[in-house]
Amino acid sequence: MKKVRKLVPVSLYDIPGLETWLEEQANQSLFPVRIGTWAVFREGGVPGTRFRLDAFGNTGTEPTAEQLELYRQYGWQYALPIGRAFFLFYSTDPEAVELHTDLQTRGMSLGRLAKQLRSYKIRTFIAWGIVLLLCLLSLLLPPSRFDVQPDRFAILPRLLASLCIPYVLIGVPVVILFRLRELRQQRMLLDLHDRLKAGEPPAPSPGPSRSFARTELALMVLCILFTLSMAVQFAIQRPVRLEDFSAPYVSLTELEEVPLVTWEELDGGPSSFHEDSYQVRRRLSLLVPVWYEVTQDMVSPQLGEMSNGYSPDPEGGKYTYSPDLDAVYARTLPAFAPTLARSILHEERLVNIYWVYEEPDLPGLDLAVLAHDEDSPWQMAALVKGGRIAVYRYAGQERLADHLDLLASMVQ
Amino acid sequence: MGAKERGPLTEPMFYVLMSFLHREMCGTDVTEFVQKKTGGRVYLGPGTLYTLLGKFVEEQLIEQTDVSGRKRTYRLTDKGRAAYREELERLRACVADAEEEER
Repeated sequence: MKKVRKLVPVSLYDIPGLETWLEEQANQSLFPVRIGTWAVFREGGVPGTRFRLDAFGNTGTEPTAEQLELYRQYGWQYALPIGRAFFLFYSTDPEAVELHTDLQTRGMSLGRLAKQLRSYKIRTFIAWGIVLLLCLLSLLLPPSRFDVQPDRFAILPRLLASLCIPYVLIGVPVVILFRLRELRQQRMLLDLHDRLKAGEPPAPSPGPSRSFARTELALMVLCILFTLSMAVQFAIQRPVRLEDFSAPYVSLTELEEVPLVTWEELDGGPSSFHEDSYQVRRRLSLLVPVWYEVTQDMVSPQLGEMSNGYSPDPEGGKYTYSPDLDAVYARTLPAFAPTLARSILHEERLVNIYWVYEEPDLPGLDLAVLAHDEDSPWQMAALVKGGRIAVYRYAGQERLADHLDLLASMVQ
Repeated sequence: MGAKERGPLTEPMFYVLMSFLHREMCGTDVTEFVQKKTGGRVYLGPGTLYTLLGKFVEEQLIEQTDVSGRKRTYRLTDKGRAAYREELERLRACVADAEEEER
């Protein structure tokens, strides 16, 4: 039998509105088979059929045998459940007495549903409150005791850039719109319950409307976009091997005087232990259209004289020399670039090192920050020109200050 | 829910309780009784009746006595009889007040 699918143009909590819409469909010889955001109809509906929603009682998601029998005796048949809230009954007999003949009892029948909604409202309110509180607390909590130079607000510009991503920009309005719709629908049902319980007739129903259907459709499209944008985000942010990456970056081999090889080359093949030592990870942000992070952790086949952060074990008085260069390259609004560069620099620093910062005035650059630690081989640099940013974190025997031309070439 | 929280019985509630005063009844018997007793003034739809029976069982004003197929029979409990008497007294007082005012 042919099935017809239609977007339900009325809230499922607008009881009179939904009943009216189903009766309009019956007048077009359609009978409901399933009702949710979309309704599925089969042909064979009887014009003039009356539909009535009856709230679930304490008996679960199916009407009891007693209820079915009682209703049948009065000319009402069970059609289907709607969500986890209502049973849908119908009658093709124009003489059949109405399901509910008393306003207050009708209100009483909605009591369980109204109680559930009120409890859900409170629980949701508490849950959102806790989420907001945790967000606030995360800014106000004292920093880690290992962080020797804490600055809890330094991360904000980078956080802002990280949040300007399509799925967040779509997801936040989707959540807000769903929540508003939910609140509106809950209010509608609770108001109906309260009025009926007080013996007052229901307020006029908003009923089926094109604008409601359009809103539902828009929400569905936003949900699809949200899912797609999440998939795109994860695909873009997947780490890529550096050999397969074409955008410019400072090669560690250019920086170092000693010859270097990758760990894979040293090991003679791929190794899961070093798989993240030579790779790039792109990031997607509408505020920072170009943003990628390059990790180069290489090793010298020759033994060195100086340890770095990861190879403190001497071999016959010498050290395995394995320098490390992590760099972030980005392009953003020129006005935002210095702030973002400082924020990335703060984010990239090793927190248990006391960094000494200096800001040399370098011609041709809008910002240059150099940082080093007196007691370790770690150094950092942040360079900005216009909207271009390059932030480096390096551990090795070279001095970044001696290679500023090379480092600055990425922002020129 | 006690009488205080429930408030006065509504007309359909009152007649449903009244129907069980002298006999056990099933749902359709109740509707017929109420229709006959009120001369058709009060008519109980099946949804109204089912809601009231469920509510009264929950409040222990009536109790189930028999299940025959899909049909269930109920009778009034002592608590239900008391609730009915209480409502009757309230209505009598209302009528007495009205009559006194009329004189």
